[in-house]
Amino acid sequence: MSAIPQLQDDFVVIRRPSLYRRLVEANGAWRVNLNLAILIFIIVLGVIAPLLPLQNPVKPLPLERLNPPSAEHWFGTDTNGMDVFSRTIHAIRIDFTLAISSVVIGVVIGAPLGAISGYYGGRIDDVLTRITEVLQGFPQILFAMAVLAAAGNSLINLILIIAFYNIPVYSKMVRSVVAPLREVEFVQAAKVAGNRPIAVVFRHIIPNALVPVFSQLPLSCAYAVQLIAGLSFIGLGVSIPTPEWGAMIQNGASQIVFGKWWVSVFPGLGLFFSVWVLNNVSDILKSLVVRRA
Amino acid sequence: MVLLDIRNLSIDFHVGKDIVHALRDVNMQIKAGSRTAIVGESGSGKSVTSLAVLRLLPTTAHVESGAIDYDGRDLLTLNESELHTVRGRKIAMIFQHAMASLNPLYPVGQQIADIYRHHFGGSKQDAWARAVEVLGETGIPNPEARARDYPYQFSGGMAQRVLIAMALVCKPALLIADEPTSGLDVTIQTQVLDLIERVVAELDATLMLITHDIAVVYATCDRVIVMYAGKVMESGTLDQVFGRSANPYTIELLKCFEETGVDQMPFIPGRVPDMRDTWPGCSFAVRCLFAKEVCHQQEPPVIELEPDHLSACHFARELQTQGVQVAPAADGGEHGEEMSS
Amino acid sequence: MMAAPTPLITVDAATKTYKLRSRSLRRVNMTALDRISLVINRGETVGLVGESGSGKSTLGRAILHLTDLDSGKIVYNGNEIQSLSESEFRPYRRKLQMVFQNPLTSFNPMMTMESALLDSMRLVSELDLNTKRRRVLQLLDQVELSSRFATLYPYEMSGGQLQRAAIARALAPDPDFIFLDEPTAALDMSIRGQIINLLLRLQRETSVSFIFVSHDLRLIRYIADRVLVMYQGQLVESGDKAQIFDHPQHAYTQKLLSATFVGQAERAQARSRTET
Repeated sequence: MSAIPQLQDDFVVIRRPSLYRRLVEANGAWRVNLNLAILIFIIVLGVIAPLLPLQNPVKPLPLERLNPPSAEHWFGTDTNGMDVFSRTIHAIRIDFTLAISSVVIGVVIGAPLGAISGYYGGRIDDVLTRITEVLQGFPQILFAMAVLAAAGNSLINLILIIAFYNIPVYSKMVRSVVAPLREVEFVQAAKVAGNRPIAVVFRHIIPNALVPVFSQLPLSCAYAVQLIAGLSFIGLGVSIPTPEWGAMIQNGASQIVFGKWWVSVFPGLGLFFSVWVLNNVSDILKSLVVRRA
Repeated sequence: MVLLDIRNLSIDFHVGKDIVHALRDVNMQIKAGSRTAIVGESGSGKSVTSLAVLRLLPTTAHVESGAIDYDGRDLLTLNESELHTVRGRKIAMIFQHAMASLNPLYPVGQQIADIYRHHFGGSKQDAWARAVEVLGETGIPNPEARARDYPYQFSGGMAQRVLIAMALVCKPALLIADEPTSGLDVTIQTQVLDLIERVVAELDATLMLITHDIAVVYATCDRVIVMYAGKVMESGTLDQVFGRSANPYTIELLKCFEETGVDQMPFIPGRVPDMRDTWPGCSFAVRCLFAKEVCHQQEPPVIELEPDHLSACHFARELQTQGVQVAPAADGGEHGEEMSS
Repeated sequence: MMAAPTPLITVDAATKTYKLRSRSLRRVNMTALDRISLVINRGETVGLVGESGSGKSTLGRAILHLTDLDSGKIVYNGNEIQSLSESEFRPYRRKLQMVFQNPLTSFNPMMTMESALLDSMRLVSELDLNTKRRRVLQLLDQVELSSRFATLYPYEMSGGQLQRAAIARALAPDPDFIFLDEPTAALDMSIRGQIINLLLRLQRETSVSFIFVSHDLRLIRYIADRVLVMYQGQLVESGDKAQIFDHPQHAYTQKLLSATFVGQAERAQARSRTET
């Protein structure tokens, strides 16, 4: 009768390790702390950039073109006389916003497509798999150039193009996780419980496919940052005066031979560190994929 | 005569940051010519023991201490080439998943012939003839034709026969069978056990049979070693261990297999301990109906009740002299006649 | 309670053939169910025995509408359910439940026991969430698990505890029928008795019907009122427990029995004679 059970026979108190503890156990405290700290530092720096006492990143000073690093301009000035230090930090905002929003769009569309493909199998799966294969067949830079040339060189278009790349990445990944789950007994149990197919997919299957997705996210962001920078470097995507690493590197590329290295090297370092840290964080998160028995 | 002498064997598995103490100071002797069963539940260490004998442990396993003497040599100190002269030739093994133990890319006859030639050399024709011969001996109908078949063309029971043929082609002195029947249907289990028994008798070999099933032990073996949580609980002849049990775990385990009334099925309350932990007393104490204070605090000594009959229990003698009357009234003493024979 | 048996589920000439491709790419038909007809009465436990591949699981999956039949009828409580679409069948879902063989894989690793049991009550519309929460604790208590198990994840529990939770989950929506697909096969011998005794108690306390699938005739002997024997997709024998165990008719049943009990006893005796 009573709701208080008497049988406590074989109950063992279990300390459930936090996500952070599991990461530290698998990767070591140093690796986890250092990489997460750098990533958080970069993102926070981007967020608070307008509040910092930085110089105006888009104000050209025609009299101070190509000045070397000095007390006034820590990273020097570029060909238009804009402060490289301020621009390198402000570029975090545009690069990360573009990267994250494009990746999120790619995941939001790609993951459910992959889940449906993997869960239903058969004809739907065949069709979706062919479509993703065709999408992945396009040479990416070339495709982006064509679309930006035709549809206009806007940031929205840039986001959509990168999202478009990410859809097949995530649909394939989720499909490969979901397909074997379809026959697992807890999915059968969910059906027996009366879950509609869509609830089976969203409540029971997708949550179990999320760990690989999460570990892939930073890697996709890293890739997106590179792609944005790459496109901006060849004159597509973001252009001067908007502060963006790729465009900034391009701006200074022709000056390196004249010894004016600071114009390209500092945004280059920004790009390098961001991509490096995102790759590391992705690797660290992958240690969660192995399910604890 | 002792064929295989395992002394003070402790093996740890390093899994991530955890250390699983799979074997904890295991001592056991396999007598030449015996059919010895190693009985235990999951986590008892019975399979780890058999893998250690053949040095087939995964890389996560670390032998902390101990020796495995076979024929006067410590198997744990052999180098790879010395090991090859023992593995398969002197000691053969049959695994639970027969199909997974066969190479899907080669006909079964060729796989058997290859093993024969590896150990004895000779011409391919001779080896093939020998392969067909052993396949026939294991009761596979039409062995000449079946030798040319690939593993997937065999059913589970037939694949197990192929594995037995493979094990006996070199006439090993010791055959280790790790749960050879657990994946098979009940009716086929009997056939496979009969075959193993016959083959062992014909080769005059020693059998070490790893199983969780008491019925299999009764059907096949004459000696028993009972393991629990990485330790040996009791060992002796079938009659000593199952007929005059002197260890609470053996007594409780046997009860689970007994035919009793119909309203309740016997079981052992509680669960097996977490093998990452260590504890001072007896491993079974927390589940034991007979446990006293000392059982939780001191590791039980190994008591020799009669020649060969060993039990790791503080109260082994009391259990045996007083029979099952030591059992508290709570479980009704329904196993009386079985034990007091 | 011992009224005349009222049929709960009637299976009539159920037939199911799987089309497989052999390695040589020829199509091979495998008959999983060959004109199976049977009746399950209210409140009874039917033991279902047969070797692997004899169609036991397919039968259960067909009754639970997890697989279609090629032909034949399944009548539950006077309604034909086999031909219904998934959405037409949904109202019956909660009345027909299942316990799976492997307790660890039959629970969603991301859900606590409470979420899993609540999920199983999703079609129970007459109770509100708070009532359902209380019912979770009652159900856990019923299967002898303390209320603190409600917050645990599957990997934090042992096989025996999980299988008890699986039984609680099957009981949660107040079903008429539970298909128990070898619920003890993945458990250690020393704890199988816990599950069997629990089922025996539930059998007495509730009016749920069980089909209990097992290889192990010893368990069937404890738990079943009636025994069905399947062999290569056909129902080769059915009858009272006593009748099947004492006077098996079909050759396969005899073989199975002798492999389980008689043979081993005789062999053990023979051995002790030769050795003493």
